[in-house]
Amino acid sequence: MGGEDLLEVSNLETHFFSYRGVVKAVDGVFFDMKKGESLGLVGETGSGKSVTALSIMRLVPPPGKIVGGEVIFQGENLLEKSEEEMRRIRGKRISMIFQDPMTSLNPVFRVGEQLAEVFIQHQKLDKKEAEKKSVDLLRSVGIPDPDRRAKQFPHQLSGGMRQRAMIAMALASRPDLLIADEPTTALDVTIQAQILELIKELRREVGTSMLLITHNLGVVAETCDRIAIMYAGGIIELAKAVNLFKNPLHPYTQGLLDCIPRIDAPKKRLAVISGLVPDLIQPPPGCRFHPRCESASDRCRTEKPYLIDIGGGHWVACGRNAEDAGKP
Amino acid sequence: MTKTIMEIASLRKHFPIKTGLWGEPKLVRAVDDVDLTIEEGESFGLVGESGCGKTTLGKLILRLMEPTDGVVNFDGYSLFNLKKEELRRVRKDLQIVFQDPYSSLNPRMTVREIVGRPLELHGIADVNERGERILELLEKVGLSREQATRYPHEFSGGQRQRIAIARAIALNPRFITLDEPTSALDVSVQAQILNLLKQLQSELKLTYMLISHNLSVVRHLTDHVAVMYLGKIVELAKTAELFERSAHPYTKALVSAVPVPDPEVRRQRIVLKGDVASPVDVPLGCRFHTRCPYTKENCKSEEPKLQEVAPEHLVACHFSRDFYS
Amino acid sequence: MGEVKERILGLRKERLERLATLNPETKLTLSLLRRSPLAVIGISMVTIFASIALLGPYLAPYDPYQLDLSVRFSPPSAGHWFGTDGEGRDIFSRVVFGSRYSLVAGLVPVISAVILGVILGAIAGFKGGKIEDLLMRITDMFLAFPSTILAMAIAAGLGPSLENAMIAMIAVWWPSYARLVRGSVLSIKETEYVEAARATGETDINLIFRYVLPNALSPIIVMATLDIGGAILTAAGLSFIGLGAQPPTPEWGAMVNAARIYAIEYWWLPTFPGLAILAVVLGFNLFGDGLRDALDPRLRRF
Repeated sequence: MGGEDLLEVSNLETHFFSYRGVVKAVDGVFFDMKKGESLGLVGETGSGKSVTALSIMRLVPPPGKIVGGEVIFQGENLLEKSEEEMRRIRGKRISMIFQDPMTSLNPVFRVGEQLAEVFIQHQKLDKKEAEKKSVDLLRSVGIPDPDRRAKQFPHQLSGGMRQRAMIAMALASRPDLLIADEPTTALDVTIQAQILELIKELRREVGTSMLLITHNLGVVAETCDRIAIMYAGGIIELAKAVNLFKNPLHPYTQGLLDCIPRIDAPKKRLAVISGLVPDLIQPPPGCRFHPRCESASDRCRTEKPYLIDIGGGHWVACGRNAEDAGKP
Repeated sequence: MTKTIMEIASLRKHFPIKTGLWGEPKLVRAVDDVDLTIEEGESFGLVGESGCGKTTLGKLILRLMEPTDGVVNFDGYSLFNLKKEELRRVRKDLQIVFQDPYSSLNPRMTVREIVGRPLELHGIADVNERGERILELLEKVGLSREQATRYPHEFSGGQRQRIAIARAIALNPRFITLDEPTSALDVSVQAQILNLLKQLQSELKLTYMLISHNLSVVRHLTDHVAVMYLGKIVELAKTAELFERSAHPYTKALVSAVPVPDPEVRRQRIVLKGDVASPVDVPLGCRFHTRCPYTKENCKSEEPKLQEVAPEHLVACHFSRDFYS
Repeated sequence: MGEVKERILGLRKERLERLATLNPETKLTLSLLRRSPLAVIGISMVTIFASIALLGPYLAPYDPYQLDLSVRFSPPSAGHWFGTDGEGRDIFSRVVFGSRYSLVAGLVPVISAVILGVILGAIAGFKGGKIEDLLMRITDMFLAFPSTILAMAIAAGLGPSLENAMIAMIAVWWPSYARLVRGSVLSIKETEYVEAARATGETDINLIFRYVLPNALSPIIVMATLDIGGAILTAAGLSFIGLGAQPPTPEWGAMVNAARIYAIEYWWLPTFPGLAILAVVLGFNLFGDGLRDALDPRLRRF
């Protein structure tokens, strides 16, 4: 791991202009990724993690709009590119897989045909070659009887197989970055295990970097090198996986870890983060988390904390942590 | 001495499906010969993946569906033999909380109507007393009295689930089926709801049947667990025993498949081959043999019966003794 | 005695509270409607039409039946805004009064068809089995006939009059609603809140009327609104071919029919009633379209 910069997101802001007001779904997100690494973006509903991913791909649906910031991918700012240029990047240099494979696979076309499209579009192969490569690709993601499966329609495949097909499509052009948005959330636990193993294996082979979006801390613990925790539109902690779990610094992260029931270590009572997720139209002033934080100080109520490097690649956006570390 | 509150014997639910004009009618064997007993006051967990039949079983024990065969005895009543009126009365004691808080509440009714309807239906208290009771129920589940006149749309997922719980406890039931009660919720909200459920259980002396695919939640909340696969129970034991000393390959695979929020824990993962089988084409012999990494010859022809591998620990596998650690 | 009074007051208070807090869904629908220009135009036209119909006698300068042979076939003028017809009757007054017939001809058949169709469709969808099959086959039978011809046949069989035309329309319209409602009922029947209600011991009747139907209303409302325009047009059409309202009733279709032979010489005779039909039907169609867009779940999010 390590090496050159792949992705640098600075002060990304994406807002949704709804009839009730402006929803600041992503409000100043900063993070970076190096080539070959996997970064987990973790958050609950409304944290802005999916919108962040869609913003990188420039696929934010209306009434959403990217209103600020930079997304530097391999030296180029994606936010300044034209739609035509983005189309050439999507599916080739950056690929995305979603939670529900039924929505990204066209139900009226056969699976093999859709896979072949990728090859025809991006690698300029002719139809016969593309179809042969599709079958090989299906085989490589562990789908038994790939010749038969390629001729089937998406609804004829099980959830796990569809997800494999989608992964196959995403990795077909050997992209530099794979964005996976809750890829296993809709799957059964044993199938989830299979898919996670598959993703790990393929990443080893192809060397793709991965941005994994999920709300499941167990999944990121297993598959990611670094983890970023999002809350109310911003990243509040970012660290190497081992460090995050061993030494969570932000009260929200601590709260999250304490409230999850563990299959290997049963708890008597689950800790609770009091209160509710904030309204993104009128977020609380200062630190977004302060109304729910037990150690909130006056400063937290007025000043919005920025991500600060505590050391060892561990970043926290928290006033109290900044004080502890002796930083302004 | 604990009393058995629910007894399920040889319960079966088969759905016939048509396969066109010429095909032979096929059967979806959703629940296939299930026996289990639940003690009063305990939490009983039912786990399995999609197609295992746990949701169907949950509906059968409430008689939201008629069985193909079998008996369910609830508190001494033979559920499937009750007449309409008797069933209505027994229903007071048997309630359910559903998974999706976005679709389990009638969008056209206010909170007060939703929670109050069971009281109205069963003629409990008069209009004024009912009003007060509804407000008490709301407070009990952590909502405020002012919210009684609102509609479900105006609440978050966790709050809606609280409303559903308030509805379920309105009639002072003895038994509540919780069908994936927190699967649609964020983890922080899940924690709140799980704590609430535990608290209500001890306060109101409730018995829970928890149906879930989330093994961590089941571990946290239950006393006994049954693992289902393709309509049958493959393992049944006290919770700690099942998770720490599982004796069925499927259970072992399930438990090992759950990712743990700790990157330093390196677990031996048993990855199963193939997909979750369909209850339409149930494999012969042991239903699990097509995915089992330890399949032997007799697994393909003989169906294993549930047998004790340790006190109160039942397993349906020919080689359970070898797997039991 | 005091107890009863208290109880009544308690219930009334509850009703008032409920009215005060509009269902947020309704609020959203209203705000969406307000923002669609076509819907606003449609609603305005419909409102104008309804007002004219209701205020008819006060707006019409002349009695619609009053003959004045001295001014027959007069073109539009200050005294007679729309001119006069072959019997010297003021066309403007007749058009104004005609709106009442159109209003009735539009609302009565549609509302009746809706009620009939909803009841049958709900029973079919809810009960299922043989009842559903029977009801749906009857529905199919009615739908198999071209609606206009069926309406004409029934109207002709019963005798030409506006009332019979309305009966004919009810007979022709109810099946579409039955089908629509049955479909909605089938899907809503399986939702969790219906199951939860069943688990609490809710009665079948209540399940249909408090749980299923209120949630199936949207498509019905849209269809009904669009159908009102169609009903007005059909009633006018039946009258035009002589099967509906009969002269001297100032019904628009009948007026156009009577004016046919004079159309070229005295253009104002069929034109104004015809324009009235056009305006009203257009208004309802715009309103119905706007309503359908406002209620479309996919467009409702923001």
